[in-house]
Order: sequence, then structure tokens, then C-alpha cells
Amino acid sequence: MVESEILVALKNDDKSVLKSVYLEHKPAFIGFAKTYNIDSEDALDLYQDAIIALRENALNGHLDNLKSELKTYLFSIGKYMFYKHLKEKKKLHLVHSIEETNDFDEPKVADIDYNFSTRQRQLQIAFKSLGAQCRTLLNLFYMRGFNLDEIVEELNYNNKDVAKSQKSRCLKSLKKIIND
Amino acid sequence: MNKSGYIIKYFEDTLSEVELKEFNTLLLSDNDFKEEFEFQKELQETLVLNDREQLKEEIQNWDTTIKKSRFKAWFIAASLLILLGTSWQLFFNSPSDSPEELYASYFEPYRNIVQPIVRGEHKEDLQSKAFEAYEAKNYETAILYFNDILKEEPNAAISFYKANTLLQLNKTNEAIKLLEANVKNPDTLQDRNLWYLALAYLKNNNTDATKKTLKQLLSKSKFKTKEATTLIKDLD
Repeated sequence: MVESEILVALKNDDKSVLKSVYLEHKPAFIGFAKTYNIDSEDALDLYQDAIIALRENALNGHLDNLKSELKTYLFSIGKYMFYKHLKEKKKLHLVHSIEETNDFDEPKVADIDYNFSTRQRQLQIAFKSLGAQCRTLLNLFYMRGFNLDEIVEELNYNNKDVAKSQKSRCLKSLKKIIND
Repeated sequence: MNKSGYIIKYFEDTLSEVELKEFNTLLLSDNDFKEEFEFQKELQETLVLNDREQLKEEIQNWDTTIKKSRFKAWFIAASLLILLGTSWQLFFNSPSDSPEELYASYFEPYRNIVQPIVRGEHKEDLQSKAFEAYEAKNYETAILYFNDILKEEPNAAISFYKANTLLQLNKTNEAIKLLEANVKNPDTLQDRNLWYLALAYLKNNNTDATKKTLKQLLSKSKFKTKEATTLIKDLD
């Protein structure tokens, strides 16, 4: 698979391609982390988060005009995470002080955390108890950033109005679950 | 455009400059509108976190050869040690350990998977406090918080951790009572509850009940299959 195809697949949320990207670069990434004195357990954890950030960026379209290689991009996400990790552990050595880089694809990296507020946990539980159709629709709209026209196409609705009223029905059931 | 149209366009990122101004005015002047928008915004953040959490779990399954995670590695190491210990014992056919000794070699408090504790972050809600204490092995404190949580509403996960904490505090009978109630609920952590119930019986020298419970566990789940099998052998 050539790199442009990989990028398209990642944007389409193709998990099998993401998995092959993950497995392909794992050893090199962990080796790269070692040069920052990060042990392999932490490195694996950070690598998984880097892959998650890569996917989120692909879905958001940040990789649409990627000029560097995917690997370079992934590793610069990693580098950002290493600095953050070392800073948190207060182990940032002078050797690795953050220098200005001239990469053309300086990645935007969202902090990959998993901290739900109590309210968000509540919402998550309610969301998980919705039917499959609602879950798909809400995920496409809020998480993947599909607009209503794209949703009509993806989910084979007759028209935009159907998608719109379906979406508002789903939100209503979600609120009902929370308030009951 | 009706009000919900503004919100849809906000999430589609298609508000024109004029519409954006109107949108902002609505946010300031219309409380229902603001509430609806904030609900959907919160939902968006939740779905991002939810998706991330799911993917992280999925990725951990992609690693078939390397240690899956800190917990997993620790868990595998601990199970191996136990296995090694028991097979060594079988090999040399040494006299069996007493139930109390067996209990000590099998029991380890169940890890906290409910409430991730982020170092240096102090959360104020009860659940965070409870698990902070649990992870720090302050079981007396943890039990107080677990009780407070359970007073508000029944919670199967918290009941399970409370039972674990009771075992740590050597309140075995109380733990057994709670675990016996917990295992009746097939939806949440039934296998974990069965495992700890078997260990609790073991601690009370009730080896028949231990074996019966372990067999129940083996028939229902793959959780602790190896340990349960060797423990039954140890007891025979």
C-alpha cells in the first residue's frame, strides 16, 4: 500500500490499516524513546497514545496535505509526547531541551488524556445504552465531524431532513436516559 | 434559520460570519439555547474520550507478543510466579500448604480499574477519594468512602471493591456475605466476585465451599482459569 492510500484509509477510519501502521513502526519508535531515556513500558504507552493522536488528526483532516513521510510525522508526535512525559517526570535533561524545529509538518498534538468528568461518565454510560443506529449517527456527527449531507450518504437516509430529525430523536433519548 | 439550525451549523463548522454573530447573541440572550448547545458540546467531548478509551483497549489487544501494559505485565509475572510456585510444589510432592497459606499465596487485591488516578491530581469526589485510598493501601479509609458511595445508591463495581477491601482488613465473614450477594448479579464482575469468594472461603478453612465456587467460576468464565485449576488440585 502506498503512503497516499494509507492516509486515505486512516481518514476513513480503517482500523486494519491503523493496526498495520502501529505494528510496522513500533520497534523503531520504542528504540527512539530509548534515546530519551524512556523505558520500554512507558514508551509503549506513549506509542499507543501517539497512534491515537495520529488517528484523531487523520480523522480531522490534518493529514490531508501531509508533505513529510507518515513515519516522520508519527515520530514528531512521539517527540512531543516524550517532552511532555519527561517534563511531568521532571527528567527533562538539557541535552533534550526543546529546540526550534524546521519540520514542515509540525503536528498539532492534542493531549491524549482519558479523564472523564463525572458528568461525562454519565453521558458515556447513557450513550452506550442507546441503540446502534443512534450511536453511529451521533459518533459520525460529533466525533468524526461528518455534516448532515455526508451522514445522509453514509447511512442511506432519504434526505437531510430525515437525518436531522433522527439526530434530534437520538439526543432526546439520550437526555431521557440521563434524567430518568 | 431556526435555533437548532445554528447549533448544527456550529458543529458542521459552516456558520457564516453573520450567522456566527447571531449565534453568539443567542448564546448570551437565550438560556435554553445555551443549555442545549452546552449539552451537545459536552456530548462531543464525551464521544472523543469514549472513542479514545475504546481504541486504547483495542490497541492493547494488537500487541500479541509484547507485554500488554504495565498491569498486564505485572499480572502475568505474578501469575507465573504463582504457577511456578505451585508446580514446584507438585513436583517435589511436598506436604500441602494449609488453607491459610494457600490463601496468602493466591490473594492479591484486585487492581483499580474503575477510577484512573492521575499522579499529583487531587479529585474531590467520593469515588476518586475512595480509589486513591485503595491504591495507597489505606484500606480503613477506603472502606469509609466505599460505604458512603453505597449509601447513595447500589453500585456493583463499588461493592466488589468493598469486598476486596474487607478481605484486606481480615473481615472475612463480612466479605463473604457481600461477595455471596455480589455473585448473584451476572452482569457485573461476576467472575471476579466468584474468585474472591472462593479465596474468602479458603481463608475461613471452608475448602469444600472453595472448590465448589472455583468450579462455578471455571464453568462461567476464563478469568483465573489456571489459578483456579491449580488451586482445586492443591486442595484435593
